[in-house]
Amino acid sequence: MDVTDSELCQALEDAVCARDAGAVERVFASVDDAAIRSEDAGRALSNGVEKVRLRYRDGQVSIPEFLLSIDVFRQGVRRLRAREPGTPVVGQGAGVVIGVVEGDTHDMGKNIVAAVLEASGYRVFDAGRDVSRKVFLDMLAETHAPLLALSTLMSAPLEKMREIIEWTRGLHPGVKILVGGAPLDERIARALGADGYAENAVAAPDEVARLLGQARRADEAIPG
Amino acid sequence: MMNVFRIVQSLKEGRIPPLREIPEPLLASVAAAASLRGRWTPLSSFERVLTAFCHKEPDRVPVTPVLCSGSRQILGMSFPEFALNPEKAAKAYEAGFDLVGGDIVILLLDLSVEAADFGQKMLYPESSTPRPDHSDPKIKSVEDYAKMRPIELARAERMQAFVELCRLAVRKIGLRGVVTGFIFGPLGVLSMMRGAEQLFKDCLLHPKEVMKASETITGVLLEFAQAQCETGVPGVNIDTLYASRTGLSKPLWEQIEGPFVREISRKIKSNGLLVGIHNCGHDPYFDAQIKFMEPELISFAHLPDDCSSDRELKERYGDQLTLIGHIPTSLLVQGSPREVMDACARQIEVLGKGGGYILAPGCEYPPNIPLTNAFAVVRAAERYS
Repeated sequence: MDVTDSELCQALEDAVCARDAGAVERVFASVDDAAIRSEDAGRALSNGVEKVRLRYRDGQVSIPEFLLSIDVFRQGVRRLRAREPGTPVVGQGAGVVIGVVEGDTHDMGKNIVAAVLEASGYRVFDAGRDVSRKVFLDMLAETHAPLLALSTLMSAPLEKMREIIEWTRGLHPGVKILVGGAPLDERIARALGADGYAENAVAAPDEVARLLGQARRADEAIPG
Repeated sequence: MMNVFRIVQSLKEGRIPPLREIPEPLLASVAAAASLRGRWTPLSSFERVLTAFCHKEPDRVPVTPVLCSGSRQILGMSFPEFALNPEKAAKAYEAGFDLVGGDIVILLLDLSVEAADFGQKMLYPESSTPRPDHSDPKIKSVEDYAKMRPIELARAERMQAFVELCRLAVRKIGLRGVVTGFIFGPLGVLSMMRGAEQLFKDCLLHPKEVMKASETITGVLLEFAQAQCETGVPGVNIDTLYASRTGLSKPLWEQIEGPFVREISRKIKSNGLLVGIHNCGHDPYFDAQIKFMEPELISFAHLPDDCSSDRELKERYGDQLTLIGHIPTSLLVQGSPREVMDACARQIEVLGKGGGYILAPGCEYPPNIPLTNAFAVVRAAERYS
């Protein structure tokens, strides 16, 4: 097929923005594996998520649309990983362990943030929801991730969140801790002992970058 | 036409009468008289709420700490006891009303009441709010929406428990305070059985299936609303969380949930009762919700999507609605009583002018924190009005 790598990448990016899972499949079906570099394709998919994130920030898309774009992103990433197992595709930067704390199962916000961070280049280890202190600590030990991101939608699990933060401070003193969720704000985050707070997926990448003291990816300036 | 019999009957039984049965001019006259009297003597909670509701200034701003399952702390009760035993829940609500105070008691067991009766498997932790077992959702696939069947309200244990709570609370509180019922909108109920994330995607990809299930659920919710109306509560709140940027886009919400909550609202109004909306989402769509439900009151946590300040909110919606809110949950969790009272004072100053405002937290008082800041909210209404 007479298409360039950049055209294919643009098609992947557009597919994420348009929430068009079929388009991703069509791109991969239209070319042989050598016609598109995995790294470029991964970046294109990530660019799509970034564009949608900015559109959400500006009120141009709603959460359901954001979620569907993320599904298309994940589908594309799975496709790339399947054709070249072990090859870096997306999310090969600093590690982030993320999860909803014990006592809460509302994980939609966490799922969006996890995808956005992955698309921003972080290696995301998703602990899931209703996650105990032990699981978080074990994951930090296994992954050596420099950042722990905790969320809850309810006020009842805040005490559990405080415990997890205290234990993380004790056992993994170098780990930065980010919190988010409906009952939280910057002040509560500080009171709980966290290093940072992100109100939503729009704010999360910048806050993670700030905490890790690193510049965001050079290709972040994507027009919305 | 005024239903004098129902009004007299309610008062004889020590209950607040259905206000929509009273002609507006008469209601306004009573409120004006109460407003005048309130300059010299304290009003009763009912008079205070009525006066504010009629957009007259009462003796002070009415207040509710929205103390729901948090009230169980007063009696040393577990969450399951509160959620599953209406007698115990009614005692907790009465204890909360007597100890902390306030003018309005907003009844709520938890947001899973309706879903549990539709067959959603539940978890009842000792020290946290009941919740669906999300590892075993009732609606596992898009096809399952069509399999939703109406349930008999008489056999719906949790909804019946809530109706019984309404009855008991009305009896216990009587004319001392205004007790209101509560219904989670059909999309909220579906989210408990499907998970919010999957439901949101289904709303975009399979709207007809979602609406079909919403129709089935709404049929039962209409009976639930009717049953609450018959307990003597003067108003029922409809929770439309997803009519906000936390949920669906405005057009999608209008398409999918709007028509159903309109029916529920009309059912409540047909009983002569007031319709309240509770929406603690970010940037709630006041305009869309007003269009479909024509509520008398809106309880909210965040400013609507078309307002950027309390002042603008009051100017835009203050004439047509009674606003209830909107002390942030985060402040109640972490702020000192002094800070909470200061925040209350600021809201009272802007939103309380000319009535049409009830001071309250933006959402249920956090159930596991000390009640100190619930007292602070009530005290602020007494001090700063």
